[in-house]
Amino acid sequence: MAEIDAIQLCEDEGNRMATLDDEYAWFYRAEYPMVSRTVFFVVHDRAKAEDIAQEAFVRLLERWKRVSRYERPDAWVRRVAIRLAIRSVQRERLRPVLERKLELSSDAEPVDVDLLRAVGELPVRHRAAIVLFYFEDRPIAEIVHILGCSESAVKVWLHRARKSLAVALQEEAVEDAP
Amino acid sequence: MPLEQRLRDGFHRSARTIVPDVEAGLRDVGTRRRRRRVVRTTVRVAAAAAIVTGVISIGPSIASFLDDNRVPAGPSPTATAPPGTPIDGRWVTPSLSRQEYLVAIPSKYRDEVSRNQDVTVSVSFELTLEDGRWAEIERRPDRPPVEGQAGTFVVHGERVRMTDSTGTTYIYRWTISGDTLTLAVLRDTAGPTGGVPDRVFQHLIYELQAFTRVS
Repeated sequence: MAEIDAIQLCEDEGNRMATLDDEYAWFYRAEYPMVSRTVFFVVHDRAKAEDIAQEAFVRLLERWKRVSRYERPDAWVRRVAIRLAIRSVQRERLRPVLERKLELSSDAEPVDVDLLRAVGELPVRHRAAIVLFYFEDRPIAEIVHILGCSESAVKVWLHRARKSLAVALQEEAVEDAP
Repeated sequence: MPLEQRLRDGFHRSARTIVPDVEAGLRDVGTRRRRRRVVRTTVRVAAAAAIVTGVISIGPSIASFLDDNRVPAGPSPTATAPPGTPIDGRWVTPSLSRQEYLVAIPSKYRDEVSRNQDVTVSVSFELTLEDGRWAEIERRPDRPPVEGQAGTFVVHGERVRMTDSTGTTYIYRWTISGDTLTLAVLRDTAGPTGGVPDRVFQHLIYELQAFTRVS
């Protein structure tokens, strides 16, 4: 009887894990590509971006039971990924990051390399703010949550980043944002 | 073109060129998590390095184990093997001290492996092979056992193919001598974890020490 109970327990646990895995897999498929692209615009290294995004999703999986109940698990995984990306850039700041090849697929349509280089020259937190605002279209409140800083800091970073980019790209910055 | 428009267009055009292999990534994420569960918690790299420095002279030299082609002699099932395949049973390794564990990690991967894994106490690994199912558990003093890899296995002659729940396949050559099971990794399809080849973890868990039958 004890053995039957134990088998039943195992089956219940197996079913629970299967459901959990399904939910996680769905979330992963939905969010991983976007997160890895966002990280790419911060670290400018495709392999590293995918590795960092993957690391963020591993941490998510380890806490999935809890984080999946959050209102915005997508913000949680971005927060982890962006922090890892910032740390990675800071670790390598002695290396000429911009001299590394921007690894894009060979069948890529024409990309604005000047823009990517200019973004890459921004301080890493400015870069993260710009990417979250213009690429992910995240509102300021979410960027604050993801970057773990104050609203005023994000606004200052965005303002300074626009100013730097306008000079680098010889464009006129129009403050369409806070 | 206004800067803001150029930013939006530029990011989205570039993003379309980045198409990660999501299914491969999903398989890999499961593998990475299992690795974490094998030996968890953090350790200060400096402390680890100090330990390594202290014991490096007495540790086994395995820096080149990745290229090691040694294979054990052919299988030699014993009379003590229970019904099923010759390797069916519950097997455990001796307790591996943290020093032994650290020196078993190739130096170029030591920091990365140490960053997220528990090498602060001794550990032993338990392997259960029964009715085509396989499970690996790690045991540490004063801590609850941690489930590691698990899945199905098939024995073909002197080889055993293990497949985990994500479909990742590992092939080992096995040898039994008395109550001792020795495994050698022949094939490992799992991707790297944080730049550390999966082969490193396979070595630490399955190859570094022989298993002794406990049931």
